Amino acid sequence: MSAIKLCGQEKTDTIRTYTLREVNVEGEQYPVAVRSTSPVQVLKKEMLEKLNVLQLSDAAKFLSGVQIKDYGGVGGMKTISVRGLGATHSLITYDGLAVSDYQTGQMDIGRFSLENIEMIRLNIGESDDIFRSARDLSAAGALHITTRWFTVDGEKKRKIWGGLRGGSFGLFNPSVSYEQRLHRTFRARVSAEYLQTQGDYPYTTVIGEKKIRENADVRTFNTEANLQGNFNNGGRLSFKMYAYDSDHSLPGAYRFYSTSPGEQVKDRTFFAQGAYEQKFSSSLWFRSAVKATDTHTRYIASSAHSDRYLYDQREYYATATLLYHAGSHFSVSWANDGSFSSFRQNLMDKKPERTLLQSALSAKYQRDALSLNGSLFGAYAHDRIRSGDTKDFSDCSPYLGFSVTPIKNVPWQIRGFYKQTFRQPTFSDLYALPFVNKKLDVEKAVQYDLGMTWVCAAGKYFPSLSVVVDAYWNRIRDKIIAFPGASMYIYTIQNIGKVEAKGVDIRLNLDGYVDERFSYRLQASYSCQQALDRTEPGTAIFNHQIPYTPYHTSSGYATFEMPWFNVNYTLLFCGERYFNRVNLPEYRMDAYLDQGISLDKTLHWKETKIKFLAECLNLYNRSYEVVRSYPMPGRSFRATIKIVY
Amino acid sequence: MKRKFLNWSYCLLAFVPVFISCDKQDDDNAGEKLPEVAGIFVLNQGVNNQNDAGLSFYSMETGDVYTDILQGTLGDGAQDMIIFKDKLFISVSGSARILALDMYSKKTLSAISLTGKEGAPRSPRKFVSDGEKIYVSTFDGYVVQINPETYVVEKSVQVGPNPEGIAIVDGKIYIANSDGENYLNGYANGKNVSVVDAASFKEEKKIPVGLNPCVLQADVYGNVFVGCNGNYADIPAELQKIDTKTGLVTTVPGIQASNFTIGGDVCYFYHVVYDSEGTASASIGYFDITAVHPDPRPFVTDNTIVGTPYCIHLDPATKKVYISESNYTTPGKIHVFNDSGKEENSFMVGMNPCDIAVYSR
Repeated sequence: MSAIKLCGQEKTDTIRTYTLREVNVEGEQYPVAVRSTSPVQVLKKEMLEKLNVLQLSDAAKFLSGVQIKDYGGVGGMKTISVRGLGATHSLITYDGLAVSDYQTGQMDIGRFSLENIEMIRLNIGESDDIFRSARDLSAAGALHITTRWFTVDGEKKRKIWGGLRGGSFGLFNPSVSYEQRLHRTFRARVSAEYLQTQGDYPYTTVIGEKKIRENADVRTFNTEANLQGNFNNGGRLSFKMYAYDSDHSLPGAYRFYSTSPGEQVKDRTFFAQGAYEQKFSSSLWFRSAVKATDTHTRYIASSAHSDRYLYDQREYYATATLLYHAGSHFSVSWANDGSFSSFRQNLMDKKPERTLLQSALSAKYQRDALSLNGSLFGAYAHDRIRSGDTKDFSDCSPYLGFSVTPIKNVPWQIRGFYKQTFRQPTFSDLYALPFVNKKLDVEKAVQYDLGMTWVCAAGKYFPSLSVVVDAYWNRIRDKIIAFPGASMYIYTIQNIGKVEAKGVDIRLNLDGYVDERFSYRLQASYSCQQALDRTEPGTAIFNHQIPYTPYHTSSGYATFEMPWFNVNYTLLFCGERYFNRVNLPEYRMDAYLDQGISLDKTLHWKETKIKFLAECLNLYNRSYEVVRSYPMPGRSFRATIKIVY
Repeated sequence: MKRKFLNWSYCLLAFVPVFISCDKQDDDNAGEKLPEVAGIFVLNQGVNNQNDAGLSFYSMETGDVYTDILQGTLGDGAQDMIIFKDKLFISVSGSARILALDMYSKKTLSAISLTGKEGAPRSPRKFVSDGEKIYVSTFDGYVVQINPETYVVEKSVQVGPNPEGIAIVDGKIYIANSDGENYLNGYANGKNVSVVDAASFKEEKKIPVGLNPCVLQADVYGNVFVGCNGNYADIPAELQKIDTKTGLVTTVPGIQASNFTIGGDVCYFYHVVYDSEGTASASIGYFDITAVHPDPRPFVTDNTIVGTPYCIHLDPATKKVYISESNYTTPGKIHVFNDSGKEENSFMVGMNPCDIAVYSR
């Protein structure tokens, strides 16, 4: 935490410290993302509990500069795309290590619950913390999920907490966690969560038919065991095992005048990861981690054949990073990652395997008013399939960012960055068809960003006020596009697209303080984005807005803390967008506004804390779709009890 | 002699609508003047799961094109159309319904929801008519009979897996069983044509044909032509001919057709091939169906470039050939050619135009 400079004339005799919404707090050593060279947004546990959200995807909708493609309901798929670049250009990490899907290149972020999450952090561009693995630099944007530890040194030896949530359409969601300090060095935590919902919400199609969502039931279970140790010699060890088991129905798109068949999905993921960090001296730090992941997915289509699609993916991953501080202003790090992944699918007899080597060299210079951050990331992928030729992919990505505080003692920062990234064709792009498309190449993305932040405390009644504005310009080349080919099942996949996106993201945060009993927090964000197809002049789609990219989006929340209870209000607005590549009126989707409200109350009884939360989602029962023909739920209710002991 | 008589009666039938709808003063010229096309309906299939099928209409009287006269309410996955007297019937596969419109006023007359076993939605595919009833193949493996006056589904009979193309010759209904859903097993059960007796509505036999038969059309000589798609990999497409009198199946040598249409003695077809990178190239041709060794010729004679063809339609009254093109990404286009392969007209329609129906006055 750092002291905030006052922007008014008022003086106080105590220095208040406040946690800023966009401060990147990663341990005690790295304060102040006011200096960050690229946009960073953080949502911490306290805030996540007030946003009227259930899944990670719901929370991500409040981050600016992202689009969440939500297929509706708890079980519908949800993917995240940063600034119009597409879901394949986003990286998701869970407690420091990436979760990846080599088949589709996209992660369904709906599968992450918020129960044990301490913080989610979105980096567009790159984080300024250069003590990281190489993979963190591989994507245009990264969403980092950090889980929560309760016990603190010197405090209670153990903590147990549990929650029970219930809600509309048969939502039943119990969870429990137990944390224990072992000896003086270690602490361990075990948690388990079960979620079940019927998902039979009413909805209205775009031609006014009133229906009930069928085949949308979900049953998921996840459990985690964590061990962490802090050693006197500056070493830190952490170990995790995670298991996820899900069985749910996917209703599919609705059909006018009829019903849709839907399918069943059974999904099982298990991973184990261990990380070790050691500070050899104040200037030489080392960290490394290993991870093994096993994923099984089974789709059962409800057709005459009951076609079964089975996917198995396995990944072994290791990373090592060395950081050197040369003096107090300059640091450099070198990270190397290696992974081996294999994929099996009953449709494909190719059984692809990929060896991926990633390396990153980063340097940071930080002095008074100026921060400079640069890195060079390179990756090499070697694929092997059971029979046939494959291609190797390699590319490198530079990053350059700066941040400067032009006027001394004024908390106004200007920053900008340039980043080039690429994404390799996925296993699905390369190996799903009878023949391997040898001509398929990496998809490249270039980002330019220029922005400013203003963060200050405006007196006693406004302990924190911030404004963040970023303007950006992105270009995608060799976009990998799939379109139908010889038959419905055979697709043509080519590097054929060019997209140019320009936009502005604006965020305002205000903490207000009336007195010891009343305080409030407001955030409003607005983004406008133009993402145009620039593939071939003269075609019908040239200079048309790419699908599912609205021109205007906005989100906001307001929380009021009062002695009796707290009130939380949320708002999501999405402007018009098109569901086809050609922008004709018949392909335009209406704008929508989704508002939510909740009340929460925390009681203390001896050492126990009990929290009650009652939420009303989609307050005005708006019928809307994020993806064409996949309806979102209307008004629904949720109630939660949480006990911490 | 019998053949010549059939030829004549076919020609006379073609002029019947002219006799009925023309003014008295045109009667003198009826034999010489070709009927005027009054309007062209184009059925836009839309994109799977997007509920964006539509019906375009081109009015020859005004030259106006209406991209969707149903304004986005048609449904998901339109398949086929048929003109029956002055009604237009449309099959919408994904939405499991058949829509009946008045051809002239464009007003909806009826919407028939098809259901199959245990009330599950039944997807209609292709139409054929014997002048009294309308017969529709359905994706769940049936042929149903629809009364075009009462809009009631009267009969149904089970045929092979995933029936598509349908034709009628001498009171027998021929249906191509494509097994198109069985992609995983290479369309193993898509290997025959079912024959259903229209009067008793019972399946009489299955005639073995090539792999994955889809398009089916009868000629005036009592032959049924079958377009077999193969498996898009090692088994190529082929065109076969069933002589309905003898039951003999022969392969038409040297012809590969993704889709075709027959009028009189001429078969117009196109063939789309995909190379290893997935780039499509198409050829459009025609051949004489009475020739033992057909000599296919390229159809387009004036250098008009047609993108990837999506459907082909021949108007027997005017002999014009209508070809639609689609790239799955942007709205499709209709090319109107005269019978010497010269483009007379073209206009833009909706996404994936899959069928064309022309009515004349």
